[in-house]
Amino acid sequence: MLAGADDSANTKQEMSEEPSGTIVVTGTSRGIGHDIAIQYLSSGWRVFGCSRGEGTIENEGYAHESVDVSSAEQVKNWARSLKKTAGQIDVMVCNAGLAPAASLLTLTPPSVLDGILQTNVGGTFHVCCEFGKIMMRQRHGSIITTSSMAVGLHEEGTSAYSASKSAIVEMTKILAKELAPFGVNCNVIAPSMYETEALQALGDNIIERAKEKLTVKRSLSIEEICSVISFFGSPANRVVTGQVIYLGLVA
Amino acid sequence: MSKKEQIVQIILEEVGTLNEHLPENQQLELSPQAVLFGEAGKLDSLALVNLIVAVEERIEEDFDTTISLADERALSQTESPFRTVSTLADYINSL
Repeated sequence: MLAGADDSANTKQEMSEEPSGTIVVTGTSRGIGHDIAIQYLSSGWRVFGCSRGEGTIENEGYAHESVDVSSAEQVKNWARSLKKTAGQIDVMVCNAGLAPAASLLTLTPPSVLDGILQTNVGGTFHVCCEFGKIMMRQRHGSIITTSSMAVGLHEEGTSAYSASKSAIVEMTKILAKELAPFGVNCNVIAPSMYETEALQALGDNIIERAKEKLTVKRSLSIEEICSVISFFGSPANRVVTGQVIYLGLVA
Repeated sequence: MSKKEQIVQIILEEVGTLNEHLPENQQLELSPQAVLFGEAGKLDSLALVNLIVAVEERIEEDFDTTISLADERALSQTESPFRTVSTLADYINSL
């Protein structure tokens, strides 16, 4: 079926037919992470989430922990605690990340670069390390990291952010090779426009320019994002690993 | 049984479990002297990681303490703690 403006309704129906399981999502206090958690909860999944601050989701199927993913120690403690309480973990979505305001590379302070790399690259690395070990032992699971349309667009002012999201793609491909012998797949989702505060932080000019360059020139729905997560996370698709799916963009 | 002997026992049990997933020519002998990794070692890096994760988990369960075997301290040792079952047990015992 060709993608169209009304396709998200069909996707929502498919999502509700997914068998339930346990999913862990980082960065659930707001934005895409929050909405992914809500979407999976509505489909009967148990959701374990984290963010640097307090949780914002009230649901009996949801458990929140305050974790700064850029801290290896905090991620390790959270993962080991979850291993005891969650039982089998089916899907891990590494979503937590920073999207700073646009800044030309020549005007970007080193502290901005450091912060982005620590959270986006370091955070994804620490989460993949700890949950990768859990899934190795389970011999089951799916790790999904989050890149961005920014990698495919090469827009001015996104050098630090795009560099971090490119690093995530490479990291995930290597992890995919390392975990394949254990029946764990690792893939990347690279959403285009989704209405979040992080997107707004990039600035109206960048957003408008980027939108014009998109193949599907509209915002994504959360159902469309979760449809890709469900595809990667399905045990029937374990052979799909080390792949990047861009949503709304031919990259 | 001393703590070191208990640790050796745990490692050997996990080596036994690991052996079930390894081809026959890569399986390890169930002995404290079994070479795990490095020269004359039979484990590749993925199998070693698998063993490390399993041993960490068992130590956590049996001794109610959390350890990290693949950290800077382990990697900076002059003699790799991952050389044999016995050296790994000594390293864990020292933590």
